[in-house]
Amino acid sequence: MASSEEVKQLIEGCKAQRSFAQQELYARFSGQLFATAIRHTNAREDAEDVLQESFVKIFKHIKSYRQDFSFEGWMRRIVVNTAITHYRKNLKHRHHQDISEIHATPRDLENHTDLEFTADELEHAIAQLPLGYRTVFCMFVIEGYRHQEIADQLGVDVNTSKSQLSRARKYLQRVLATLSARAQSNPSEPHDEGASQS
Amino acid sequence: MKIKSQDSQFDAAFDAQCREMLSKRSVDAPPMANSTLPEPRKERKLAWVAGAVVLMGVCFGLWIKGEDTRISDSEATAPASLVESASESPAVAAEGTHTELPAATSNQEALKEGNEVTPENEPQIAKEEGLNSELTEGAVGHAVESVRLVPVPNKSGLSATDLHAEPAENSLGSKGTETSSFSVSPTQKERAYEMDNSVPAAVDSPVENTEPSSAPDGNEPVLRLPLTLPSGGGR
Repeated sequence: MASSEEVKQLIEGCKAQRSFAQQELYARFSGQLFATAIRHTNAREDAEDVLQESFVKIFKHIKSYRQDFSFEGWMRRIVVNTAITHYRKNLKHRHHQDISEIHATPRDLENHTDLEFTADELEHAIAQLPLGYRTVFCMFVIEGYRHQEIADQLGVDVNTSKSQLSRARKYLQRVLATLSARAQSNPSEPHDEGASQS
Repeated sequence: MKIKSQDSQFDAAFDAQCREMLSKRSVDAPPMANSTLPEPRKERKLAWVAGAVVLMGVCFGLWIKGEDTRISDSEATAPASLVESASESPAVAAEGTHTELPAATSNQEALKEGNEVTPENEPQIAKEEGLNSELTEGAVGHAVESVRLVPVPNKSGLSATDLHAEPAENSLGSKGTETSSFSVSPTQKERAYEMDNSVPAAVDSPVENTEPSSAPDGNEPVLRLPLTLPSGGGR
């Protein structure tokens, strides 16, 4: 993890358009930003495009960055916005998949009392969500957007954002509860059901 | 990681757990593409090109301005002869208003030089001058409708056109019409006055009663007058 002083030096170097500072900044933050891009896109190839485009914007507009905000948060916002733009561009080529069409777990997980899951399982579960639901969930839960901001960014109603978040959350909880229940019933088996579903 | 709850706080705890697990999650990213990095050299090159273009434009503008200044200076220091000729030349000064001025001047000169008073043409000249004075004094502001310019063979050195005044129905003294104005010298007036005294009939009908030398048969009295047309031209 880069310290704040090193990050400031990298920012100053990028403002001066020093190639070494730009490469160092990319090496330090590209992993996290790439994970964010993957969550907001359907495929890894799309995530790579979003990442490259996001770094172009970062290097171009880094002079407008103010020190009183988190630099990582600023970069992540750029990635999310770029992913949303990418999503809008390709929206007409995709078929909207409703949450009801997703393969649901057979067990009734309404009575689950606890959830135990790993980051990989959560990633796989999120990857199964339709793109619209996934985008709303990631923007609200991970990136910290408000419903009004999400509605403005995606061009949907606020209530639509709330309903999509609720459905996405319930679906993830069911999937993760299923994985957790199977792990409890058969502790020897690894938690790879989410991966097998994807 | 375990989340235990079934109430409304479950969703909040679930969101927090997801945020904690995923916000710091990193994935092996692809290497940075060459196109990702901005190209300062390219921008610098563009800046140089833009600066060169601006500099060329400024130089061109200064050159154009210098050319204009040079032309204006040459106009200001034009040869005095050109300036004099331009200011004194009647043709240039009266351009558009007195285009026939040189011809009129030649008429006057021809009148002075070639129309000498000889025993042969003295009566004719006297008549002509008398008529001329009448045209000037009595017919100012009156038109001579039958007056037309006829080229006359040069007998006495007159190279200009003469006034061929045919007998007109209206007398020269009729009013209400316009005519050309003639400039008559005092000597001509005196001569005309003498002619009027010697031949009283010429005052009332100078054209009809005049027997010019150029019409010996007397059938068609023709009065030839050297005429200098003013700027307005004869109507």
